[in-house]
Amino acid sequence: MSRSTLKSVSLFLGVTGSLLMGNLLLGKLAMAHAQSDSQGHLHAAGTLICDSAAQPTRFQASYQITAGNDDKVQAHQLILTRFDDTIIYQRGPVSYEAWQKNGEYIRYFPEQNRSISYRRSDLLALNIHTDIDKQFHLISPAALSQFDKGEQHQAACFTQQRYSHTSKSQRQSLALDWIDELGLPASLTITQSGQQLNYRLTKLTPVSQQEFNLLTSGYQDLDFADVGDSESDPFIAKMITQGFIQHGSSGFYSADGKQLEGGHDHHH
Amino acid sequence: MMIKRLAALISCSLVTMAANSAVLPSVQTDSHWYKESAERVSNKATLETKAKAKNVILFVGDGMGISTLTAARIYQGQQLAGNQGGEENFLSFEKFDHTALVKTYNTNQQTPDSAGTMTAIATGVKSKAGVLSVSEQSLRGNCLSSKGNELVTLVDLANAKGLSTGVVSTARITHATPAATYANSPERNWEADSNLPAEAVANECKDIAYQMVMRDKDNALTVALGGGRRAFIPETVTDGENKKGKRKDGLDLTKAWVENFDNAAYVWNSEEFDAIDVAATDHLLGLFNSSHMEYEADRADDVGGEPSLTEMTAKSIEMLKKNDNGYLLIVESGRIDHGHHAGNAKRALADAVELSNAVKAAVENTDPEETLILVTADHSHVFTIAGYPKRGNPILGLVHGVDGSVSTALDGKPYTTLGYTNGPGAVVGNRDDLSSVDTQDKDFMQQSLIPMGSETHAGEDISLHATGPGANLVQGVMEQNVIFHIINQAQALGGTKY
Repeated sequence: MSRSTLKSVSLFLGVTGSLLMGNLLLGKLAMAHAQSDSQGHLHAAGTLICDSAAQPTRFQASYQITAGNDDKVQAHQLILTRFDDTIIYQRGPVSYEAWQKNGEYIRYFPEQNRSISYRRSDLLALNIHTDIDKQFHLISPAALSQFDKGEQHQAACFTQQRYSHTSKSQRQSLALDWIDELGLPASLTITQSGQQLNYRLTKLTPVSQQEFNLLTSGYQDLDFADVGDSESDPFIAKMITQGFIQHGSSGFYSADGKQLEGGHDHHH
Repeated sequence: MMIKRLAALISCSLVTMAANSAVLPSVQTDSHWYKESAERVSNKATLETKAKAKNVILFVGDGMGISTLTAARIYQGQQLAGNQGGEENFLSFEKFDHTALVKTYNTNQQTPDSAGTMTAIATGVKSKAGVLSVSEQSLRGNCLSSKGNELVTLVDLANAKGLSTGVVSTARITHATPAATYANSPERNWEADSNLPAEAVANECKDIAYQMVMRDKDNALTVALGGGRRAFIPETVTDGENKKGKRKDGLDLTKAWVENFDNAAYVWNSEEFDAIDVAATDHLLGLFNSSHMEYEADRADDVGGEPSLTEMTAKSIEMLKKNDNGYLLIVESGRIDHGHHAGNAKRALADAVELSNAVKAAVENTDPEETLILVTADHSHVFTIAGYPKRGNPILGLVHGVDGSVSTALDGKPYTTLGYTNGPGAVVGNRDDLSSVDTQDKDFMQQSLIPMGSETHAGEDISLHATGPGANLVQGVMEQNVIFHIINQAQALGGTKY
């Protein structure tokens, strides 16, 4: 999928950078199938495993993401963990990131037990503008009103509302099954110029305070504003070398230092 | 005596100049450039400066190098009604009569960091990068090596003389620049006890927040205002802006401040700050953010509400002047540095202008006969003003030449006046075409040359500006540690035998 296509997709998704990063980190995977490791009150319907105890503000959602065309499809997994005012994006083992309702962004490096916090003003100073609603719902709920509403259907655990949308130029189309109760897509397909991007919810479970703490506690945190005074810190030096902290014109880099597009806006 | 002799000499030379001016054409002598500058020199010729200062206020713009001053004065000037382009403007302290250049290197670094530079200013002794008011014999990050190498600071001396003292910063109050004025530490990052390594704990080094609050009563700060709340409260406590503390020892230093000192108060937002009864408060601690306070450009967005640097300065003076013996106030504009590190000139300049406002407030709220006001920086940044923009060209804009057309580089693309030698705005591959980009937006990141995660400090000299008693000591090119000695002498702090 080309960068321009990705940029168009970012109109809808808060995860443009995530897609490219996932590809870089995980490479080509086979399509995932629901596992039969259900526990508690899990329900399985099609390939979705879900637990109706999941709350809109406390859940863990696994998405299977595929991108490509008829000839080549790449797939990877995204795990979203929402706990009150924080949502965590996990795409691979090296690092994961959290967005908070107040606009703060934290990048965790579990192997080193270190994290870097970007306050909203830090991100703005780097010319990074983020729609927090998109980060928390993958699609900005406000954008739904621009789509054509289809029929409702009852799926495992939740009612899903179908939406569709075709851009004025007819070049981009979107098909969405939306779980209104959670404010999350159950399925989302965006098609443009023969390329297709699909998000499919494969597992949804509740998350406890303890599970959330495991993801966010015990890290030695550094303010991004202090990076400039910390380049003698071996961790910072290493992360800069690998491109994690270096922000360039987009603000985000992949595991191998390649620049990702992520909410950058030059204010044309 | 010496000053009077000098003044007489200058007066004589002015008489000679006036005599010679008869031969100058009126197009020259009638020029406002000629007349205004002649008047300025004439004023300087009659300048008399007292030697002893009752009060001293030291302003430090973190990272406020000369190019930042120039850009900030134009930035401010271009916002003034009836401006002539902005270049003619002066920041408030640039009108001071006494100026010097200051060499900033650390004992181990050609280009310095804030810890080493502020140590020089606060103690009269240059030291290494990363250490706070301990000598260069200490190893960075090693507690044991710092024992016996602690340096006495201006704050210690002023308190010992019975003066009141205050420290203000828009950064964390435990950050390197403010911390060097009241703490001794071989590691600038030991801001809370949770930052102390086992070696430091074993050898009984204390974290910086602890050192600020748990002082002897007779060496206590009268005012401490800034950010950095998290280093003062336990990790189990969530503050008013929904942020957790960083202390593992369970100490709540905000409570300790109130308990340890007489008539003490702690405030955490602008509402409480505004409500402080100065007459009834003898020790004021204000911690307005969990980490650094907001950039001035973003201050209105703060959750709890933050006072401006100007407001903090004015309130501090109000508090400190209750002491008839006098006071020492040290004020840091801490986020100029962070704006530059992010390669974001507009935020850096907005904070530099706010520092100028704070200095103006200090001038207006003090007696020039008894208060020495100094304004300096700790170090510079690799921040440049380039190209040949026409007079009045927006300082944050693309370069337009004297004929008004946009100037282009060899790649055919326009470029901004302001830029950085290195940093996050570095261009890898083709440079962005900025033709349709709003480079004056506050979130615009200036382009730079060398790709680095964070734009860096620069090693050239910074400036020192002074007015009031003892300001005449500010002249020439000096080592940064001389600033300590200027204050020590002007305020007779007793640190040496002047």
